[in-house]
Amino acid sequence: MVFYVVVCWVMLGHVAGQQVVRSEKYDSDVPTLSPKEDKTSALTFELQDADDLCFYEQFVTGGKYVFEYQVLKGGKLDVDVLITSPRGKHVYEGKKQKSDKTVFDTGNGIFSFCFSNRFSAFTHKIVYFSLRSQNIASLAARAGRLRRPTVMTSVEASMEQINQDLQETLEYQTAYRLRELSGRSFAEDMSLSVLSWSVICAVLIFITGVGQVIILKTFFTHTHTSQKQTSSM
Amino acid sequence: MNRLIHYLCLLCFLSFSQALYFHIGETERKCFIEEIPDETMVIGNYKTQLFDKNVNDYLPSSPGVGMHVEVKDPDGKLLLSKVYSSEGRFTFTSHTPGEHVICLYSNSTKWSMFAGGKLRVHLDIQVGEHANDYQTIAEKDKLTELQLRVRQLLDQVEQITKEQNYQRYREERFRQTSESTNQRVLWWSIAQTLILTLTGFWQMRHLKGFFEAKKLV
Repeated sequence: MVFYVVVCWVMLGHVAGQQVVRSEKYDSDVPTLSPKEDKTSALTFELQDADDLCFYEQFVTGGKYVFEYQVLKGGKLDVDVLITSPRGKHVYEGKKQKSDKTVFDTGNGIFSFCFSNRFSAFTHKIVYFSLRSQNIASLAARAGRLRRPTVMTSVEASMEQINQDLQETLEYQTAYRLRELSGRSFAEDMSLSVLSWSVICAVLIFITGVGQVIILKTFFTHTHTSQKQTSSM
Repeated sequence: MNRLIHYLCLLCFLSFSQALYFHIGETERKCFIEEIPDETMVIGNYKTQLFDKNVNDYLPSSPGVGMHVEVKDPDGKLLLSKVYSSEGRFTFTSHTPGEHVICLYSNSTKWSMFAGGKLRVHLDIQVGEHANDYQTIAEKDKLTELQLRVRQLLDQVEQITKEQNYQRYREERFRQTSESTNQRVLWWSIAQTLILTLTGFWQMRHLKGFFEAKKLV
């Protein structure tokens, strides 16, 4: 509620054209019933060579969040990752990692998630990452209905259990899909390199074959003429 | 009046729902890939903010700042290409399974003059069952709490079924690629043997003729 009031106040401040002073009221947020709390963000993006890209997320309430990433395509499938807390502390640092998963405590403030491909001068990469709350959201929360905690009936309880299991299944499916994607892109690359290598090989054999004959012929023509020259002398 | 402000605030709050954000440059194009099964709905919400020197913070940008949203299906066909205002919501449903590329880029260069060339974009992409707004569904279909739960579970199961089906399709493609590689290796070894034999044969014949002509043999 406080957050809501603060937001209203900020918005009205904008409307009135006044300079909004960021107050400490943000810090005094009581855990709000923000419908956002259980949201999952997942993005797959392209990271250009020698480039970096940062994403930011504003957390309102604390809680454990799971951050997962994986390089799907490009080069040696590695990337540098850095998560920074609002106070500038490095929450997580990964150097040239292919994929990883980390759980971190959030607080009120903006966290930054930076991906860097600065070490790679040629290859651009496709990176997947996801950010979600460690607790799987209940059906009620996902429906956006904020109910007061009540005792669940057995039907509701088993439904929540099914929900948890299904959400886990979806997670496994995502993990499987990503691994399959990098596997398939590897296979496609291999297929292409086999093709190009065989073409190169064919050309090489042909050139060598013809080249050998030509060189051999010049050998004999040279000795022949030099013999002629010596005999005439 | 009080009530009006209340509703206004509720509106701001709803639209203020935070999402991941990033910065883009003047004509920079940011693309995101969503690999999805067919007949899956994708909803994207975005909001742009411009840096304001007076406040030293990012403020909601004027509606003049337009955003190109482009969605391409796995075959590279344009599925959606529209210019939205500074804040918007785009939806599309996939018809072919595979990698859908969503690209965002700003159209105007006006803002870059005073914003230091950076535009902040809040982006939230929800796929499949996550994209459903259950509050609206419950109101529209007049569902009870319990019915809504069943509906949610049904949607989840449907999503899993689609995903599984897509998994099968992908597995098939994977196998096709592997089989084609295998075929290529096989044919290449046959072709290589043939090329080698032919080259050797030609070399011998040609040299024989050459030596005979030069009276070396």
